[in-house]
Formats: sequence, C-alpha cells, structure tokens
Amino acid sequence: MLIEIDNLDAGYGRRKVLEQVSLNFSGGAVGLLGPNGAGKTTLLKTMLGFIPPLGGRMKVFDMEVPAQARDIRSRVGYMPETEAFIPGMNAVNFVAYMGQLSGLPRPAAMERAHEVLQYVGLGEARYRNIETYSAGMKQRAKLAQAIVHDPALLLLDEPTNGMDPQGRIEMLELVSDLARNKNMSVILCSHLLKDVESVATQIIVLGNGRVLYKRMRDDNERQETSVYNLRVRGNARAFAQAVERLGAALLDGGNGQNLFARLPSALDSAIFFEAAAASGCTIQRLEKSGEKLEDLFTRALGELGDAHL
Amino acid sequence: MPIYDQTFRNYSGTRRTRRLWLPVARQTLLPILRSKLTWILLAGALIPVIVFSVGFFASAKLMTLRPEQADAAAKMAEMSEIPLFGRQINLNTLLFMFLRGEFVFLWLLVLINGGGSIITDKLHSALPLYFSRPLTPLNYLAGKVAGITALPVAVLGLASMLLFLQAAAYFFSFREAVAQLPMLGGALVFIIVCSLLVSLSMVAMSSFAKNARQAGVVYLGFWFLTGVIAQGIEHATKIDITGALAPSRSLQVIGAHLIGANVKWLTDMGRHAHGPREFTDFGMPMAWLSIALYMALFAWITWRNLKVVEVVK
Repeated sequence: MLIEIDNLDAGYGRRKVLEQVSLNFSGGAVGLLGPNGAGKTTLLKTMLGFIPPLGGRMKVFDMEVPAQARDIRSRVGYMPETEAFIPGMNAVNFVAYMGQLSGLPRPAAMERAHEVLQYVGLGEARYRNIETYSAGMKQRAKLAQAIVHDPALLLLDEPTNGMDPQGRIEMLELVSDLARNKNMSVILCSHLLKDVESVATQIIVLGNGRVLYKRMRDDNERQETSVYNLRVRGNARAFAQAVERLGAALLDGGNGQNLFARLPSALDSAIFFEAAAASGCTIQRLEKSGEKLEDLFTRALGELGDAHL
Repeated sequence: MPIYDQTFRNYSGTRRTRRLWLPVARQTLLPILRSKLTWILLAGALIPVIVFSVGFFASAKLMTLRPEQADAAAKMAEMSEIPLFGRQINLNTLLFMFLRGEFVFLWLLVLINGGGSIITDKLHSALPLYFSRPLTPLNYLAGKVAGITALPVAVLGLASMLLFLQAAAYFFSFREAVAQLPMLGGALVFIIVCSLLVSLSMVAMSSFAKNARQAGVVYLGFWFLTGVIAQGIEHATKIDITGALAPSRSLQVIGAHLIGANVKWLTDMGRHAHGPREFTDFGMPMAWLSIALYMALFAWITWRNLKVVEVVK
C-alpha cells in the first residue's frame, strides 16, 4: 500500500483541521476534492512531515510519519499551492538546484533540469529568470522542480491555480501523463471538480476535515457521460433491483426516491421504463447528467451543512 | 506524440542524502561572488596586506643597509620579533593585530551579503521547496552559514599566510619559520571562529526579520550594543570578566591566545589608550564559553524560525 491513514487527527497547534481521517491509496492518480479549508493541504503537509499528527497513524511507502519523514521525502515530489521559487535564478539553475537537494549528483541534476523543463513546456524560456515568468509559467516551473528527481509519489496542491484555460488543460494533460505513463503516483488536491475529474482514478471528497466521500473510478467511467439522475414514485428498491437486472449500475449518492444510475454504452434510457414497468413504479424525473461528480460533491457538502459552496 | 513524451525519462542513477548542505552553501556563495560590493570590500581588505608587505620589505632593506645590526636582527628572530618600521614587535602580536583590523572587513562583508540569506527564501515561500526534500533544517543552516563564511575564511586565511611567508622570508631562517607554523594554525582557527559567529549571528537575524534591510539593522544593533554595554559594565564594575558579554571582545581574547600574541603588551596598550580599554584578557575559558553560548543562541533562534508551517495557537 502506498499510503495508509488510520484515524488521523492533524492540525495547527491545538486547532484540529483533520479529524478521524482513514484512507488507503494503492497508487495511481488520486484526487483530493474539497472546498477551501477542507483540510486537503493539511493532509499533504502531514504526509511530508511538516505537521506532526495529533492522533492516529499515517504510513507512506510503509514508513511511519513523522518518524521516517526524511526517507519519505526523498521519494516524494511536492508542488506547493503558493508561489514558491528562489529569486535571482533562472529556471534551469532553479530546477537543477532542487534536483541536487533531492540527492541527485550535480551533472545529473542539470541534465534532468533541461529535460523536465522541456517536458513541462518551458524549454524555450528555461534560461529566463523565474521572477519574470507569468503565473502559469511559474506553475510549470513548480511542477518541474517537483518531478526533477523522478519521485515515486507526486503531491500537487492546486496545480492549475492562476493558469489560463489552455494552460490549465496542458497542465492536467501533463499530470495525467505522469500518472499513466511515467510510473508516478499522483495526489492532486483541488477545489475544481473538472481538474480532479480529468486526472483522478480515485476520488476523495474532504469537508470540514472529514472524508465525506471516496470511490474508485475506472477509465470507462471517466469517459462515460451516460449517467442518469432519476426520481421514482413507488417501490424504489424494487425499481433499483430491476434496473440492475437490466444491466445498469447504481451509483453512490442516491437517497430514497432519488437514484443515480450509469448506463453502459450498449444500453439506452429505455431500460428505465422497462424497469419501472417491471417494478410498478412511475418515473417522475429522468435527467441525463454529465456532471455527476459535481452533483455528488455538492450533495456531500450539502449533507454536511457546509456553507462554502 | 506530444513533444513532452520525448523528453521525460525515469531516473535510475545514484541518489545521495548525505552532505546536502553543500548545494545550499554553493548557492549561497554564488550571489556573494557576483556582487560588486563584495569585490570593493575585498580590495579594501587588501590594503592592510599591502601596507604590511611594504613595511616588511622596507624594514628588511634597512637591515641590509646597516649590516652592523645583523647580530641584533638574528637575536630578534630567535624571539620571533621583527623590526617593523624600526619597532620591535612580536610576529604573533603583529598577525593578531592585522586580523583584528580585518575583522571589520569580515563584519561588513557579512552585513552586505548575509541579510537576505533566510528572509529571501521565506518571502518567496521557498522553505517548503527545501524541506519537502530530504534536506534537514540543520543541513539548510549549515549550508547558509558555510556559504557566507567561505569567502572571508579563504581571503583572510590567504592574507595571513602571505604575511607569514613574507615575514619568514625576510627575517627568519627556515627552521625558525617552521617553529612558527602553529601560529598560522591558530590564526586559521581564529578566522574560522570569527567568521562562523558573525555569519551565524546574521543568519539568525535574517530568520526573523521582515526583510534583508531590517536584518542588517538588527545585526548592526547587536554587535554595537553588546560592545557598548560590555564596555560600560566593565568600566563601572572594574571586573574584567564582564567583557565577555560582548562577543567581539571574547573573539579578541580567543584570537590573542590562539595566535600567541603578547597579551600583556596588548593589555598595557589598551590601558594606556584613551577611553574604554581596547583589550582585556579575561581568560580563554570565559571567552570560549561566551562564544559557545552566543553560537547556541543564534542557532536556536534560527531553528525556531525555520518553520514551514506557522502554528496558530
């Protein structure tokens, strides 16, 4: 297991930000979703050993946090949320310096700095001083410093902050590529649903320091848009069973008469009427939803009574 | 295939987590070397070296012009004394006085280059970048101090060696020069201790200041006030040991003893000088204790302020 978290409490001083958080990540791309102040950044900082846990246990790469934080950090890349750089340095020297601090020999760090800057799209601007970069370029430079030493785990805190729409798409493509093709596990923190949706194979929704929702998503699901929000009158349980018998999958997040169902591409919405006929129910609402994660996110926070959204 | 797919490779080479302070030291030193002010100060620090060199040369020439003094000169050499500008002075004392003068250069060099050492990283939120790596706060601190210290140690060490070699060449035989070598070792230790304390003090100021300028002001205030307060207390109480309150005075005592300067002569000179005494020998143990305590204090201040996350209480 890449990360094991068991009843973790964490915070600043006496103020708890995370309470009784239990999670397991086996790898891949994990999206940590939540409104501002949900505890996403605190969770990352706890993983890095910046904040000692107030209670519970956390293991990364089977190593205890914070006792073995230094060993953990040698295998982790971190992209902080805030603008972070060393003034007076050009991007190549900055990234190479960060590579050296991660344990790479000087020549290797310099070589990789050129490579990763090319990779993140700063190849042409790599000899420019970072202070002269735009916000989007600084984000790319931050990503470059996080991957220069080829970490096994990449922690990204709001990586698309301050980026224009095109830059945002490119950044998310890079993160997806790192997770899928470059043998890096990624934890992506964001309050933007689209960012998490486009990258993550596992989604965790945090709110008020607690895990509100977690689930795995497969590739088909990520490309799937035929998710339906249904409201039925009658025996909803019988209706749900009938729907499942006909080949649709019911999703988490439904309650009572409200249901969420995902259809494989081979089926169409006619099966809901078949299911309604079979179970003696009436369909009051049938709405195709392309934003099911957003629905779930909003609902999860709504259940919490959170006023952030 | 997107262009980025052609550039990223997984890394399978060596990684080391030891001596991570070295890149930090290098990165701290480079901007110091690029600064014009540094080179102006270096030029200023060379002036005493040139003055002493000319003095040695002229004195040696005067001796050769008056061969009847050769016997007296040999006797002086045995006592490791040299006839600088017609005065008999112990080479150890001379080297100590030279380094005491050069302390101002060291102090100014750290003032202009050390103020931003930590605060710049803090202002640009670079600390999380440092400490999300296997680098420890101790590595970071050691790197910063080593980076600031490297240039003054190299320059003052070289200048001391140059003066020693000239004195040896002009006034001593080879055997006498070899016998004097421990003095050079003592001078080097003195230079390192001075540089470490001064750098550490500036790094500590930089760790809590709001900007480099404020760090410089606090640094100035610290060295000036401790000196004035220690002198005032010493003057009022007539207790020599109170001089140890000022790190600059403790450094002088350590330097005089390490180099083997004529402490009695220095003390007498100090007593005859107008105003507060320039040199008071309150003993090595007290001087070392004072320096060790100040170093511990500065390290502690820096440590306290190297937090990646501010704790809300």
